[in-house]
Amino acid sequence: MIFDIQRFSTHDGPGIRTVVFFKGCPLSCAWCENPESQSFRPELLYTRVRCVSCGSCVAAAGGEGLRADPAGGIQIDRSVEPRPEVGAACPALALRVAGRDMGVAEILDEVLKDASFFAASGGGLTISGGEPLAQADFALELLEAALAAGVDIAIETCLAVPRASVERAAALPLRWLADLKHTDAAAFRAATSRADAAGGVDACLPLGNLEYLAGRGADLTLRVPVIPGFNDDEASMRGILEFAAGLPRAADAKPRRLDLLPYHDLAAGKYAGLGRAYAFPPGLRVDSARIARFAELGIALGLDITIGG
Amino acid sequence: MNSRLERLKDEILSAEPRLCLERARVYTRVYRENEQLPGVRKRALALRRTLEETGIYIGVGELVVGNTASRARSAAIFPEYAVRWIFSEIDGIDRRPAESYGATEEMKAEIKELCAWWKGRTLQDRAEANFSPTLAAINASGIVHAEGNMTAGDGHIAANVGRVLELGIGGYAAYVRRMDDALDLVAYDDLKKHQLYLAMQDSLAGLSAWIRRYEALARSQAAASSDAARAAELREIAATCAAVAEDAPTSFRQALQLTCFVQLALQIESNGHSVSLGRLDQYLHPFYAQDARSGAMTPEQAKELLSCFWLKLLAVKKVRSWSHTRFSAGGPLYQNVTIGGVTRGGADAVNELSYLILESVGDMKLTQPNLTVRYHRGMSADFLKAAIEVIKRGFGMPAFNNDEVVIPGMLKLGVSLEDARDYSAIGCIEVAVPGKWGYRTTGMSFLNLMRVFLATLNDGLDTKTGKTFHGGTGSLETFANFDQLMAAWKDQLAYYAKTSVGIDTAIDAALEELVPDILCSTFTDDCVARGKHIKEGGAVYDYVSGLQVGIANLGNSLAAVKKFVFEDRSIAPRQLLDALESDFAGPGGELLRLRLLNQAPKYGNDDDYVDSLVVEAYGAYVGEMAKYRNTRYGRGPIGCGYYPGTSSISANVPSGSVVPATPDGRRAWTPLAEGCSPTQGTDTRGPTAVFKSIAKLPTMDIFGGVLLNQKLSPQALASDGQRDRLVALLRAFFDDLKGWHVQYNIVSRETLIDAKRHPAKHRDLVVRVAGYSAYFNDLAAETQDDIIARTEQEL
Ligand code: SF4
Repeated sequence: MIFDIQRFSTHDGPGIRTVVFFKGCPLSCAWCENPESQSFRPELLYTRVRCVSCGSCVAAAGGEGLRADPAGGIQIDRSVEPRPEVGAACPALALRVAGRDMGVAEILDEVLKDASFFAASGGGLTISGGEPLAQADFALELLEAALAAGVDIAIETCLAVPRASVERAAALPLRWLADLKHTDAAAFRAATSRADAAGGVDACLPLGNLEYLAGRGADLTLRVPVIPGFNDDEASMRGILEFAAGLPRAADAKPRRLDLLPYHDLAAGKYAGLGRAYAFPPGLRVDSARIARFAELGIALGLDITIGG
Repeated sequence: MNSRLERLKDEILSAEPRLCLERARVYTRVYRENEQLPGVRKRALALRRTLEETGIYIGVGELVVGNTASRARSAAIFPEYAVRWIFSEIDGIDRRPAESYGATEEMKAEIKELCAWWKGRTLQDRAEANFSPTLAAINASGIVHAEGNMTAGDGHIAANVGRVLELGIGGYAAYVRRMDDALDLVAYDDLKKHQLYLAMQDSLAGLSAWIRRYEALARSQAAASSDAARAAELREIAATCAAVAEDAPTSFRQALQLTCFVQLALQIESNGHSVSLGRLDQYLHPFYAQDARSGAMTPEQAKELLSCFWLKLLAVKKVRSWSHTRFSAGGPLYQNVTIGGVTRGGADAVNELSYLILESVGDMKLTQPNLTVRYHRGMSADFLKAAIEVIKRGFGMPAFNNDEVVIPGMLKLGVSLEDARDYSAIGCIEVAVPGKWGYRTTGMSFLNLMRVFLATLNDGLDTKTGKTFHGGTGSLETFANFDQLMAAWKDQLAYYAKTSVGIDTAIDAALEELVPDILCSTFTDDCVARGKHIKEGGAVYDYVSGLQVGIANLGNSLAAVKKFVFEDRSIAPRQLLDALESDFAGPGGELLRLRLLNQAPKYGNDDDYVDSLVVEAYGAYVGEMAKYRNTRYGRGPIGCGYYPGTSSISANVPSGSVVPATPDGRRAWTPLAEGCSPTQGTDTRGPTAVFKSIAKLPTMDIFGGVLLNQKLSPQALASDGQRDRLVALLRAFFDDLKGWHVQYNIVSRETLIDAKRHPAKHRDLVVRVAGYSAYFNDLAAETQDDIIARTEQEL
């Protein structure tokens, strides 16, 4: 299941890229930029300020899951899975269904529309999410098809997936943009666990996958979200950076690339659109001096640090 | 920018635009006193006397000299073109909402007195007399807009400045005399040529005399100056003028000064705008290279002189009627300078001077000249990066034209390979072979596509005026299917295309008789050899194009009608027509508008459903115009046909102001989409999708230019990586997709909103309006809003 395809992305690997967003993730981080990516099922994103209370969506839903709010706008019963027509019915761009099943050929058609720009810029396809390897068969099929069409391929992944999936993907000439959120198992588990997954994911799973990829000499860039109260303290960040610096690499390889991604709250509105609460207070930022300090630390450890990315 | 340039720039920018009466006085006097002379001679004599008599000045610190009116940013009056608007607008000319000009009550009274003589004798009077009643009615309706062609004349041309630099003014005069001597005055044709040659000699004599006056002024200022350094500069100016008054220049400085004189004199002669400089980096380069080799000129000195020249271009102003002003927001003169591209032999033409021009334009951040870089596949990454560094400064320049489509397109038109490689931009984005091409490679009449489309839906009825100019084959209510609608569109379009040519022909006939440009013809090949001025068929090539406004609205409207009315059948024809007539009034109106706006495919998103409709509907115009010829056909030039053009300057705003609501969800009287750009705010798939949509058009046949404006936020170019992506984006668009043109506005939305609120804080904020840059403060509020509304593309 896919929830978006975005052309002309410039922060997701080299050159001009098209990003295909997979829906569903084994984790559920509170700071997630794409909260609509977490569930494996279709969901409604609703923007109240755009809604003109026309009732078109209610009619298209056939009374299932939606009703007009007497005070204006609509009320959504999120336990009902929305039909695709419901989003299409909205004339005001107030309601959208995130998530639809697409075939590999259909996606590839869309991706290849920008082939000229990939060629000129050294760009290509990036699969992202959600967690693309949570739909490993589908993801691999798409990557192989793109590769066969001559498209450069990259993946953004949290690596909280079985080793077998990673191994299959690692057999392809793939650029990896892999999350490194925390090295402490308890902190990782507490912040990333889904409500529906008892016990959550062990931090050792992504860390082990990282070691595996690094050991294979994969084209690997680490991405570290810097999140207030989670990993923006000295000890956590030192642990992360030291782990990154210690990953195996060939003697003659260039320094390991690591992007520090400071927390921002641009996605807060999407949480509201999904009817969910946003965990962070408005206006929260990570102090830029602190980010700069982490960058210096990383550089001192021999890493190739980028802020943003 | 050094302190000299800073001061000169500030002086010009802070100068109050005023009217200048001197030219009008001389022209009126010469015409009154010489009614017996043939038109061409009156015209040349009036120019000559103007150059001999009207006020000249050399400002403190200036290194390059010349002026078109008595003060910087003052505008001369051209009464021979039109006076009706002057009578109706002169009293309030100093209080217009934009582009107002200072004038005292005495000046206004004198202008009225001068213009009184011209009543019934102007170009506009003659052109209108040439209209049939139907043409007059359609011209008045706003469906075809040709006002500027009558009130301002031709323009849109680049003279053969390179040849002027080779021969010198005296060389040209000798050439004209030789041709004249060879005539046999018993033949009618030869008599006509003789009159023209006399006129040409007058215009050249005027030009030389004008330059001599600057020489004398510089000498006397030098003698009077107590500042030794400035006195030396003035003596240098005098020597430079003396050297080029008759003879060919021998140094870079002389060549640049002569170029400046020619450029300004052409704009004293003609009221038309878009008088362009052609390939400045090519014809000035030999002079620069020689001076650089001998050590006579450093790159810094050359840049300073170039900058002084740009300031001369900036000082030129033209006053236009209010309605024409709205079509050209910001008062631009569109004096284009083109750099880059390939040489006549096909090699990369970029040289040291290309860089100096690029950098000095970037340093000065002025609205003039309008700088175009000719892109070609072999252009170095270094030069492209240098161009993007200038784009980053956020004043909309340079724009890019693409050799990979323009050159093959020219070959298709019968232009020789060498000439095709030698093309330059004219005005904004349109192209011609400089010095060999007639007027108006674009800039004939404007055709309002959406008025034609609304007539298509209403059985030929123009809902704005209530008139039926061309009866239809049915209405939206009677069309059985979408194909019938498309056929009706093509039928209406064919009618109005023909009408617009009819209006052009009437105006061209009047231009030829009443206001031929003699000096400009002298410097345009092969006018002297043929003994014909440009309007008589003197140019080597002479293709023209008009401007079609509302291309994205047309495609989006067709897509909405096709989807909702003919495919889904979810909107009844009557329901749609009522909504359009009432501007989406009533309870269901706004909802219907939102559906049209948001639920139908929109051009600019690489969606074949709508893009193919644009190609078919606008493509019909491409085919239609191929049938028509301009007034020079069969009289000498190659071509003399029409092709389409979309560089609709700021016409999208006033053109929209006469269009009722349209089926793309656009409200009545609001702006249409600009050029070939997507409708404001509807291109949601990013720049690559916009490029792809545009590239589906037959760009090689839309030879009047395929204008695309993209606005970028400053962050979009912040890092080297982002800049490299922009380079890659351009290369793919031009090499692979055969894009015609693109230009960038790098200004944040917040800056624009702030500039609208606090104009004083942003006095030098330059934005790209359409094919040109203008000071944001000079724009009317509605145009400012239009620019703010354009989608900001994040890189
Ligand atoms: S269709 Fe859209 S605008 Fe209408 S009620 Fe539903 S969400 Fe609101």
